[in-house]
Amino acid sequence: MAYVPGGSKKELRKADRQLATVIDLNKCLGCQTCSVACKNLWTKRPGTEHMRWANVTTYPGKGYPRDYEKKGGGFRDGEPQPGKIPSVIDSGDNFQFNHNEVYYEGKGQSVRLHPVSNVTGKEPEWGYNWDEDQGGGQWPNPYFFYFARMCNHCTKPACLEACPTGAIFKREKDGIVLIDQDRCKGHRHCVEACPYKAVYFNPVAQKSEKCILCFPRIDKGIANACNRQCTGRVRAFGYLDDRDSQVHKLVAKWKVALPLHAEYGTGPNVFYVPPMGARGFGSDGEITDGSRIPLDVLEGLFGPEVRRVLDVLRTERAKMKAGQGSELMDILISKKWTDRFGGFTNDPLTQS
Amino acid sequence: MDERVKTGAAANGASTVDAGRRNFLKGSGGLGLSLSLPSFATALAPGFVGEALAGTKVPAYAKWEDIYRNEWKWDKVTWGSHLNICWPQGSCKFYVYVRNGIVWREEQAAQTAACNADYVDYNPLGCQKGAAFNNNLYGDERIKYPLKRVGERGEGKWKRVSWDEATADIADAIIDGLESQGSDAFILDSPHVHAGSVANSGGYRMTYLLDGVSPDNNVDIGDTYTGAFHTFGKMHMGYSADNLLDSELIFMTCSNWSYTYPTGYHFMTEARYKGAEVVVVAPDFNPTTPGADIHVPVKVGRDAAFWLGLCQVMIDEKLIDRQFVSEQTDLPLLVRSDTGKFLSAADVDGGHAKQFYVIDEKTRALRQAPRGTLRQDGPVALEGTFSAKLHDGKTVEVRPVFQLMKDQLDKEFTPEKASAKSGAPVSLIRELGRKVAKKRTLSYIGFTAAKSYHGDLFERSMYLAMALSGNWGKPGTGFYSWAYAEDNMFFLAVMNKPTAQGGMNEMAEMQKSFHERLKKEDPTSTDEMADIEFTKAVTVAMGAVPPAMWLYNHAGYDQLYNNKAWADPSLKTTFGGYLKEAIDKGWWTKDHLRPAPDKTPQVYMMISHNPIRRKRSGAKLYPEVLFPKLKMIFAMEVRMSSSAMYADIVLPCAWYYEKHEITTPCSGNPFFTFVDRAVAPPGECKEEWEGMALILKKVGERAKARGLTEFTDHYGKKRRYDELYSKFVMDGHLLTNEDCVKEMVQINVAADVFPKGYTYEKLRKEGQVKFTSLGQSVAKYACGNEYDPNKPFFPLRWHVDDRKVYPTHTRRAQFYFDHDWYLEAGEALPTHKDPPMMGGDHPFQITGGHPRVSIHSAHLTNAHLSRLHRGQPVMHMNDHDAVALGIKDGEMAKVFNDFASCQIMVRTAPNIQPKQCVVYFWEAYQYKDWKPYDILLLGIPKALHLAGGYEQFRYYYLNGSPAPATDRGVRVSIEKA
Ligand code: SF4
Ligand code: SF4
Ligand code: SF4
Ligand code: SF4
Repeated sequence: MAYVPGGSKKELRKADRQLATVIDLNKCLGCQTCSVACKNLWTKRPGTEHMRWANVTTYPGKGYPRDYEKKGGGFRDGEPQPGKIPSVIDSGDNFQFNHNEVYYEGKGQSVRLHPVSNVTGKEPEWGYNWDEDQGGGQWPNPYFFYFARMCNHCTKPACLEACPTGAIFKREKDGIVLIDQDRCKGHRHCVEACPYKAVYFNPVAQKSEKCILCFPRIDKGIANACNRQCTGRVRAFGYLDDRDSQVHKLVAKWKVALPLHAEYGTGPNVFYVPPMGARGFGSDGEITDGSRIPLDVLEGLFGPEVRRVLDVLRTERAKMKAGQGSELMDILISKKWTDRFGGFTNDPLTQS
Repeated sequence: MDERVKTGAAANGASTVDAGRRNFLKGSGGLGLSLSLPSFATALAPGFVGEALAGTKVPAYAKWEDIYRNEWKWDKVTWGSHLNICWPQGSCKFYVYVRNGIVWREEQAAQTAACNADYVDYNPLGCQKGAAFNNNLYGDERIKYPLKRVGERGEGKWKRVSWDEATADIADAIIDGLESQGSDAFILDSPHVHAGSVANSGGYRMTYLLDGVSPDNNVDIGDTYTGAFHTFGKMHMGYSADNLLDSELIFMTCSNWSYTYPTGYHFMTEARYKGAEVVVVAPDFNPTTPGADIHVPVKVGRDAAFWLGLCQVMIDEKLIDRQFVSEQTDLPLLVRSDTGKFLSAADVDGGHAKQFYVIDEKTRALRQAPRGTLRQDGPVALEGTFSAKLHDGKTVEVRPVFQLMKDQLDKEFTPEKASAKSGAPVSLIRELGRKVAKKRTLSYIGFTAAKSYHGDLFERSMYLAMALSGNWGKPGTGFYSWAYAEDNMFFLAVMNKPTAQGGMNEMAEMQKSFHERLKKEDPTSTDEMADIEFTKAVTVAMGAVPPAMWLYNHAGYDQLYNNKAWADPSLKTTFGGYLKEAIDKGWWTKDHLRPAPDKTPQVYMMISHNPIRRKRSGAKLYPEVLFPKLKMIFAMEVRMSSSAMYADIVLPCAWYYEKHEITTPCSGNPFFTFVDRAVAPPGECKEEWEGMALILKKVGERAKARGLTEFTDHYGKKRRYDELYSKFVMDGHLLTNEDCVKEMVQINVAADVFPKGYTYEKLRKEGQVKFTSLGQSVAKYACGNEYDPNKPFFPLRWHVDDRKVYPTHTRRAQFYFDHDWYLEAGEALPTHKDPPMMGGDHPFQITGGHPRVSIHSAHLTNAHLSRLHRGQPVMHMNDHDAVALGIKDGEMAKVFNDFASCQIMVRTAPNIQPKQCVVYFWEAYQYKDWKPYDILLLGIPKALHLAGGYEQFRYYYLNGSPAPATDRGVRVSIEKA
């Protein structure tokens, strides 16, 4: 059955097929092209300026929105959990600058170009990607990796479950989770409920908004902007049940792509290839063979499967080194860039 | 491109932001010229419109999805790219979307194919700066009208003037300068290529016609690989990024691809999946290292010791490639123990002073090393001590360079000693020494090498490791991606007539005459050597000069360069002392020393060029020493840079997507990309080319009005004022950027850079063309390999496969310099020296480089991109160091040394090495009192690089001479502000 506004939750979350993304943390360089691509396209409208539907931060770090992992939501044992609403500052702020004062007001060196918070009007103390490149560990074994996120277009979306007006639904044909902007009354229960804090409040429209998986592009066979524009060739996209798609092969066949915080219980459809990490130094200062990223850190994100996945990556990479070839490595390399997109390979030249 | 105009797409949902941008275009367009300053300031303020409209307008939709669907609409799409700002990796092909008369967004076209099906393609090709560039066009930093200073320099008091008035002022100042000081009065502080290929040529063309002076851009910014220059006699020998895929071991050093090479980064991670090991050699666990297998935490400025440790392991464990070493390098050449000089035929039989000797391994007898080929006539000795009989009857002890090197390595660079010196663990030195010897190894050494005082030693030591292991001239090897076919820019600057009328033939004839002359003088010489001679001649004509001397003589840098406390203690005298000796010896001539020390520069021109940001300590010395001498400072700019703030006149220019242009790519990403004029530039912005033509036209008019007809160039010849304009535009052939791009296409066809028969129309349609050769200028020979578009590119194959000699003193890759200065300073062989205490005795060492979300300063102050980080300057420092100083993350620190101080926000992180601090650069006016961290950097060039008298110790355009940009490891103290 198609989307019936306000319909039963069961109907609203029904989907015949599911689009999914795989993000390879071994290839991400933290460049923010994905976040810039999304912002340029979708969140320059009044009231959306602070939002970063596609976002990238440094891990370990507070993440985006700030401390999202500590703000509750999701399910435990199938039961919805209470959650908090991130502030606009947590969600990125929208710094304002004083270009004209510096350039044209004749104040010379007495003023400097600097940001102020759009919320407080003061020098900012936090903002989007504030803790970039800080990471964790201790010298000489510091470590970090870049962590790109977006809405997970969950199979069991907590946002959808929480919406009192039934405005949130999954598109039946592809599982995209959308908020009907007519029907949304701005209650923000979805913002509380999403454990990934992937829903944002638009104070101008007084509605909640979130990643739309670029549906106007998807509908024309064009991969979504964050995935297609990723300069690191980090992201694979397609239908999870499409056996020819890289997402299927990475998630279901090779099982090397894992959901983030599966324990939140929403059935996320963005999957991550965990980072292999650089080798660490021992207590004597000499080089060891092991990764410097503590396993428990990765398990805290992607669960107990991480160890197995890292073993698979190591084994397959060794095969490549030995000249034996590896289907998995070929997929992760993806000589042909278009192979990444599960058939969504049209040029971005067809408009709505 | 094909006409892709879609009509009827005027979108109501999308129009709110667009409307703001249209207001930007209107801006202060209707204003008169006599407004009082405050109201003028507001009028200039191009309010960012989304904010202005916030809360006022929420359109109603028939169907809620239209909010989003209406965003996915546009009126037309054109080709675009971003001009050369990001040289090694740029040239990305973009779709540029225009809606309601403004550029609304852009997206990678992603049509950049792999060289062949076995390799990874370049797609999507395009970084965050490029994918957000539309925001720069409409940012608050944009300049839209000619501005004339009405307050003090740097005060920010302006009057809006017309182009006519502005160019008249500039023209008068140029004439005044020429009349009072001669042509040394006019300085074009080298145009940056990021203004565009056309603008760059235009700047040089203008300087060439005025006989002005242009301190060499590439050397000035510290983008010269002096070690390469000295070892191989050249530096423009890059590879293509897909060459990484043929490598088994990849060293990323003195660089940070995550920030500076985002579009090519995937080749590194993909090579890793293909089985290569990736090693980052850097003081900090830098943002590229998450993609690596190994981090080698060298101490700041101590890289050479690490590489020499690897060399010691290879020699000690007998892992070296003897044949490669014997042929490619000077390591078998004999050195006299008594003098430290190469044993030459002049010593042995009164023959040629540059005929050197080896020992035949079988007969143990002296044998001449061929000068015309690298091929040795049979095996040669690398080790041992021998004697040679001289023609004066004396017998002297001689040893191969290899033996000297081995002795030095065993004495000073065993893994343990190399570890103590470099900070790299012993285990890593051993492991990597063995691996380099066995694996196909490639490095990417970035320009931090060129910006480190002893960076030449880092390089020479690294090349030695590659030589010992036979790692160059083969697929999957090479050192960096710095090579470009720049014929389009180079020749357009100096051609007298269009290609179609024989302009390029004239250049080719000139080139040929150099080749013939040199061949006659020395039959063992190569085309490469002749081409260098030709380039030297063009360099002089263009007015390009070594920048260190210009800064030393005219900008107050003598006080820095001659400071004994900051100098390398192993040098016999000061920079000034070396300079004097070098001039006395005739190594530097009046062609290099421009403006002459007794002349005063008068007019200073900048084209998208920002010395206040990037001239080390320039934010202090330029305003204090240089600027007061100048009668006119003018900037052709797209945005208000720190330097433009000090200008007397600012001329507003068209930016990318607003003018026809063509990128000039590096070998890293070997594609020329067309940039269409998607929209007209805002306000009164003009193409730089047109602006320069206007200035020269005005010079003619003003000279006439002042009764002047001729000026005298620095050769003493007369030039006519009234010919400047017609020569610049080639008698009306080159009036617009589009004219120039058309001409560039023809130049590139004539130079074999584009396929035969390639046309401007084809470029316009297809948007991108892969180069077919490295052209006819410097890179052609420097790369030493034919370019095959169907394979990854790697350099130096001619030398390895064809045994072609190098353009060096010994005709080989040279590791031993028997030059007196190098012998005296203990740098005859690759060695390690601790960096000098530049800036004084302070506990911290600064490093830095390009920021992540700006290329140079082009995007630094754009609000959109500044919201991707803290939006202000930050200094990264080790978390424990910060605790010890009582500074918390986010607090301000005072950073200072003997010369200057600045204030900056601290960002603490465990990934910064203790006692290191890292600042990626910012605009001066983002700092308190406009005192940027750059003010601390000094940029003291290495005086030894003033040496001459050796083939490879010389200057020509983009190459050679001391780089006044050595700032890595400058000493500072830090305290809580
Ligand atoms: S990530 Fe959050 S917003 Fe997205 S579908 Fe899941 S629960 Fe909803
Ligand atoms: S899929 Fe589209 S809407 Fe969602 S984060 Fe990516 S770019 Fe933004
Ligand atoms: S664009 Fe790709 S590589 Fe860059 S931050 Fe996003 S996911 Fe990472
Ligand atoms: S700025 Fe340079 S690297 Fe980035 S997209 Fe543009 S051309 Fe490519």
